[in-house]
Amino acid sequence: MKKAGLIVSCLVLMTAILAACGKSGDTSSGDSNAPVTYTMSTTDTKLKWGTAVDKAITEKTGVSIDYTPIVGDEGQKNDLWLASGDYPDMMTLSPNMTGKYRDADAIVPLEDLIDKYGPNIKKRFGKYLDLLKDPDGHIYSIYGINLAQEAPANAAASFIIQYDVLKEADYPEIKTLDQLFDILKSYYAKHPTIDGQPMIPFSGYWGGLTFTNPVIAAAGLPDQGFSILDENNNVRFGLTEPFAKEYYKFLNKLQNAGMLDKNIFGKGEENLAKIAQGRVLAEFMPGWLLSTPEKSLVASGLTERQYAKIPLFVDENTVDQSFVVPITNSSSNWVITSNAKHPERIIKMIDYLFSDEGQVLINWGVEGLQYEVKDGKRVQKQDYTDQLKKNPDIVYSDGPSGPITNLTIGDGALLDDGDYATPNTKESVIKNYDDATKEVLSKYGKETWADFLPKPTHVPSMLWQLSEPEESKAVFRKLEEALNKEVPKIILAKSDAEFETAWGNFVDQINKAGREKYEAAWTKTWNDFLKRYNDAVK
Amino acid sequence: MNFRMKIFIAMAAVSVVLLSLLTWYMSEYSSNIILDKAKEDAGYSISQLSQNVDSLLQSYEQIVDSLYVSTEMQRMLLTNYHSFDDVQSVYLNYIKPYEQWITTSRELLQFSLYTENPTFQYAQVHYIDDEVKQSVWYRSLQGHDKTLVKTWTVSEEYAVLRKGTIRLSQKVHNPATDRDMYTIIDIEDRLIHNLISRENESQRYIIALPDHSIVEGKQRGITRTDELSFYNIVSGHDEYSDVYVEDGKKYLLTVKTLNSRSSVRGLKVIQMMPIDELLIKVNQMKNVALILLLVSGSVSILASYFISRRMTKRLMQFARQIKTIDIEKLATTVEIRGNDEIGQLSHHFQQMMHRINQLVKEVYQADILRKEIELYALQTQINPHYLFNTLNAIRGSLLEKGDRENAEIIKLLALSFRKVLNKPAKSHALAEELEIVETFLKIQVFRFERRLRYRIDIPESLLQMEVPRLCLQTLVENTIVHVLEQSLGTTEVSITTNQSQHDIQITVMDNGPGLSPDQVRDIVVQFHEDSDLAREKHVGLRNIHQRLQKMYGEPYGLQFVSIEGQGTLVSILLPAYLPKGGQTPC
Repeated sequence: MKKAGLIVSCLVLMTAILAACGKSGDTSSGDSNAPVTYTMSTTDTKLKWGTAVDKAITEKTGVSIDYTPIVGDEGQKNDLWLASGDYPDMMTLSPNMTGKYRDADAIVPLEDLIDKYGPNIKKRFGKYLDLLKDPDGHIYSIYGINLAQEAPANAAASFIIQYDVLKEADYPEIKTLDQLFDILKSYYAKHPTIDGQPMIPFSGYWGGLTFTNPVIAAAGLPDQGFSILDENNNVRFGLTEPFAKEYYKFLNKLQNAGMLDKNIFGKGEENLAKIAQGRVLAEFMPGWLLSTPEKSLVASGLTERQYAKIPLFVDENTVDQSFVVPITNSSSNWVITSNAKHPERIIKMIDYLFSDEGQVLINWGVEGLQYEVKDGKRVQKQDYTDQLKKNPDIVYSDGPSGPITNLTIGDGALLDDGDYATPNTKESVIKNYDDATKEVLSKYGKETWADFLPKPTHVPSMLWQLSEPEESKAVFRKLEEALNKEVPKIILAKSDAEFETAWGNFVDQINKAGREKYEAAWTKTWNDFLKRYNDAVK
Repeated sequence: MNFRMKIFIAMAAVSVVLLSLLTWYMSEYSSNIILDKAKEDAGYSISQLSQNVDSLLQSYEQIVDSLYVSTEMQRMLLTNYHSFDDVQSVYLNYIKPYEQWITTSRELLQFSLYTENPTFQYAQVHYIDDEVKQSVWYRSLQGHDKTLVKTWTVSEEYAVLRKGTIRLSQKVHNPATDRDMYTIIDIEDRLIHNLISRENESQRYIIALPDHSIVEGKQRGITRTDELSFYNIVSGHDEYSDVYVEDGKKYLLTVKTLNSRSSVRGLKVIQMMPIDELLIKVNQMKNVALILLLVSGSVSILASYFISRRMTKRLMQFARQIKTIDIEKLATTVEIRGNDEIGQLSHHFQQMMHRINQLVKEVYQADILRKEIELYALQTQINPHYLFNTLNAIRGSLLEKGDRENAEIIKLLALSFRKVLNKPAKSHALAEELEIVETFLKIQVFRFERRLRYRIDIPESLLQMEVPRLCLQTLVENTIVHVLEQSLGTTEVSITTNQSQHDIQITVMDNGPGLSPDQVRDIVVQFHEDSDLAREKHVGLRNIHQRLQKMYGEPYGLQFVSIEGQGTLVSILLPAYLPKGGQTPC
């Protein structure tokens, strides 16, 4: 009898314990650090939540992200999602797209949540917090803020020229497009192929990066999309300006010399693949796009096929005013859609990312894995950077990677502990250059690519960081159409006469599409913003 | 080893052997069932997966099929153009919208058209130059003479940007212009990977295109099926499911090959399911069976022990009963109950003991009786001395009185008694027998005077022969009683011998009236009879005959001859050789 009683009481105890254990799993997500997962859109299909950095974030905040990859045109996908209501919980949207989503009530206003749950956000933005606000007074998106006073150490010009080309030309002083044309021509004559495949002297990533951005850059002006700002803070359509004609002439020259990539009007992936094969001699490609194929070049040992980033202009006299640093990092901004449950959890996570700890995670990584502390200062681990060079994809397994890295407070900024927020310092940048790079730089008497750039000008914002004015939306589409239709004709013109005709046609079409209306709408938008900015920061 | 041990071992052995056999068989059977079920499940899941792969690929093939159907599109692409304007306008108006629609709606990585038309090269429409002709996808489409050819290949072009890309390439031959047109669409291999549900991710799936390149399940740098260790199995079978051992680990290898369309013919879906997990379960089950076997084995051994103990308890008791019988008293010490064989055994045994007891008692009693008789005889033996002394006294008295005749008779009488009563042996020498006979005859002569005359004629050599005691005496007595006392005349008795090579005949003859043949026959029959059936008549003769036969065997014994009116002749027949000394009792 005693034995039976003992057994029964044991069983009762066990079931009680099991019941208690079972329960502790499902607390409501109002609880502060209970695990919760949110979907988030991304164009990087290699992303998967679960790197060491991601895990640290989940540990501290309970939040995990399930990435929804976008294949194909991001803009189109976002439009589709908006129309169907099938958007994920979090997204990264351009300011323009943010506007569309805002207008459709697809994203939630964040200012109250930031007020309640975002002390770090408030701290970082400080007096610029109001810049996050739209004209209607609501905050609809969050992005990083440039708290650095210096230019980022890894800034570089966007015209790229292969090392080997410069070497063969004996590292000449190169400033204009014509000079580029000449050295390309002589190199191409000597080396028409590489590994049995034809070299492509000048190429371009599709669309704007071929006939919009380089045009503006070659004029020594900051990258504002189609637009340029004149001294009086007026917005003008840049691509019908004389410098644009010069740039298109350059492309036309290349085309008629057989040096322009046949696929220049096609999709851009081919372009990146060809860069990674070392077949492209020169191009206009910004660093954020170039880094992937260039890392691949290094990993496959083709270090002499890396690219020198030297600013080029339409003529000798152009002054380089292109290097501007906006206050904010607004470009691919975080929004929280109306599909997300308990958005305060997301804000809390974003707030954590703005804290010192969070900034270290998204910029440096995990201590002991990507960096270590030496003499009280953070320093990237050598074996990690070596591994990274050999296999750039380890950011996808170790981190930091993904949209969380957008929320950085900028290269050169300091955290509360006095140390740099990001590993991106001049020393670290130089340390990471391989010998081929160092050699090229030394031939030009420079230490980093940033040294080719002028001192940065701080501006309140770039135009494309503002949300598109309503009136210009329809015009913009027409302008785009005209651009896509007419510019190829200009570039492919087989004779000077044809060129002139095509150019004239183009200007006509642009005017007909509503250039003036476009310019007026944007000028107003810009000046409105300036006023808000001045009010906010005084 | 005692009986109980034997029974216990036999029972225990049988039950343990049976249990073991049963356990072994059942566990083998169950593990086979589990393995078969696993194979079945693997078969289903791989069937499902191949179907899904087939459907997925087919959905993309349908996209490019629409181009084949659209002859207008073909014409536009393959016509010769003379100005870029025309080309661009065709592109922007027809091709680009189609391309945009397709890439967005189906999440294509890219959509491109390749033609042999050098006049139409713009954006996503490419001219087939030498570089293109070297590419894997282009070459995969060559060598087929059908109008419409589709192939799936792994695309290496974008390896730097993406993890894995698969390309569907289609070649269409346009008869109107006699030109070929190619369409390629790229999709992420992630789409194929997503077909494998999360639950199955622990199992290794390999999906390989018809050209042997692996799109899913690349491990250890193996990108082609012909690099796999089990390639020969994969290539040799369209459908396959069996156990495969690699690096000492067991897998269930299942292969399914698609065959529904020429574009996917030869696409292999391979599943490697580690059986070790399964085997762990099977082994668990086998361990449980083993434990059960041990438990039930022990239980059955214990049970056998107790049962055999219980069953043989009474047997052991019985054995002890037998062992502890007091051999002197012949009384059983233990009582066994029950009606079964053991009980019956015990009961009969007791009866047997009882009977023995009785017989012993009889013998004992007979022994006592004998002793009494001996004692009595002993007692009476004392008396002959008294008798002899008295007779001697009488003889002395008679001699004093001068009565020689009576004194002689008294002397003979005393002699006669002495001989008869003195330590009788079973047999004695013929000489002694004759002494007795003669003494007797002398006394009878005294009684009957002239009515009796006798003659004893026996050679000296035979005097030491052993004859049964009182055999001749009995015969002579018979003669006196049956002949002399019945006749008035003189009876002559003669005792003679007749010797041959084999036997010796001692005859007692008289000249009495004799007997009729019937009487003779009757007598002879009687003394040949066994004692049970014999009547009381002619006991003496029978006695002598049987004693003779007992002593010397079958041919010897008594012979009786009588002729009526002439006389009777009774002989004892003895063998010529004679064993000395006392033998079987007469």
